Amino acid sequence: MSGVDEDEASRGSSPDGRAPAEPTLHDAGDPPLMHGRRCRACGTCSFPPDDHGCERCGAPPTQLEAVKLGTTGTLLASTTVHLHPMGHPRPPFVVGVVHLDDGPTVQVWLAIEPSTFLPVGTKVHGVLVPRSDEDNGTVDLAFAPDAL
Amino acid sequence: MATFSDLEPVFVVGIGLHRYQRGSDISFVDLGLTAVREALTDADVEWPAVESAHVGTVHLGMAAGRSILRHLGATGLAVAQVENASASGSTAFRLACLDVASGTRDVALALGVDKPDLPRGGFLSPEVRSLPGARVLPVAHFALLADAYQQRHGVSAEQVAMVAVKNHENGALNPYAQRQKVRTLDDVMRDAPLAGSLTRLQCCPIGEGAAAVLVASSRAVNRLGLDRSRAVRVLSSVLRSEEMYPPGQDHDAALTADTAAQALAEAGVSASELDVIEVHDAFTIEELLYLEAMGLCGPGEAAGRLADGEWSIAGRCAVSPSGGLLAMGHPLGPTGVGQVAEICRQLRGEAGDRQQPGAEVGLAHMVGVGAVCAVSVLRHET
Repeated sequence: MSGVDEDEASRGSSPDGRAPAEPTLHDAGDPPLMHGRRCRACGTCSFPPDDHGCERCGAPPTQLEAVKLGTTGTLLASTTVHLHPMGHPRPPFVVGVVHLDDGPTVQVWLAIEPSTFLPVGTKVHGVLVPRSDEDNGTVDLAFAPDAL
Repeated sequence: MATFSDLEPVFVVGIGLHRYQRGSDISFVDLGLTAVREALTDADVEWPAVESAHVGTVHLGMAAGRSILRHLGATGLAVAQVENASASGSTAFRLACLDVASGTRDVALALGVDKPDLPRGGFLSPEVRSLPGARVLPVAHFALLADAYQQRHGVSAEQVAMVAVKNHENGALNPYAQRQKVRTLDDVMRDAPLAGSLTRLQCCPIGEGAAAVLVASSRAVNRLGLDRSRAVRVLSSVLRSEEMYPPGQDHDAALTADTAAQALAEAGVSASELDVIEVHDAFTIEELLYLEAMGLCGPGEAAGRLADGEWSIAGRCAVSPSGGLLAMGHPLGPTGVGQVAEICRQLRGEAGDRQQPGAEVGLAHMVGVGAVCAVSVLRHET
């Protein structure tokens, strides 16, 4: 499991009471930030936060420091999921791959209409989206295209 | 570092399968025994001559190998199970070959068996490891690759879907295939959409089945009086896992490129010499990506070559002549072993109406979640 301590996770709530659905992965700030790791030995930033060791250089956990990753980046691919065997979320929904400006390439949920065409290279940023099936301020981190 | 060309020569001498099909009440024991018995008959080898067995399976659980093989006679042979996701069978094949190549065994069995239960634990355990979590299943992952590929190379969704048309046409000629029905492009495009432009017929079914391959040393071929003219030489069998690639580089393609390059180099074969290829076409887009990664053509060219008939049976290089994962189906354990069986059938000239004319050199390729990649190169020396 990730090494994020409880303090780090609880500080993730925003002043207006929104709480991240996955507090080990991101906060509910403005703008939202993601929890990652940076290897002191080789400088590589990674996501999700994992303290087992550096995947790039093999450095031990003592060399991994917690970092906040900015949620701006470039879209590498997107697709609409039409059929999904798990209960949540209900399809159709859109997923994508984003190369974050801070380094890691991550899979994301895209907060756009299903079947919208997005060119590879579109600049995107993180947005907080309320979980529709919960009315308690819980938010997911998704990405949306920057305004043109 | 030693390669197969430095070690004892390895020959495939027997092949056998149980048809791949939707999950049924047939026990995994019966699936496995059907494949092994067919391979023994094909090779004209008696069970006691087999000295080790590597059993590839993902779902069957602890000690499935012995549960099957004891019914052929408890000879005390070495039995081990190997799991490497979709590449389980391919890895079992490589291990059987290594037994013979090392000179420690004369005759070894690679058996793949599986049932279609949902995977649990391991790589797919429910701990959330990405923002979309369980939202990005394999079909969505490959729909993402298809989106990037189509945009980068100006290839249409229909051009990608033609892989399914070809492979279902091949599967319709294969009694071992789960899907044996010819499909038009319209059938494929109008089928249930799963993710992006990937429809159900562009994704492999995951059912049950079994495949078996017997490998032997040259010494054993002589000692047992086997038919050397039907023996197929294993030139190389390589296994690699994923590395860290530069941002924007497709991981699956890069892993395949590295593994295939090593396997071809160790075999002393160039990509252009390949006559038949069995590839990990779990989704249509993969066949195009991997053909390019293995150097069969340049980036973005595979769809055009497909349309020109180059990858069809009787084309420049028959790709997925068995029907591939798309039409054969993909029970996880057997597939890699079944690919070797098809390559051997082709190289022996025994593939009937699926025959690639003059086939002499073949390549089998699988990837497994994790990711791992296994590539073997075989030649029929007449």
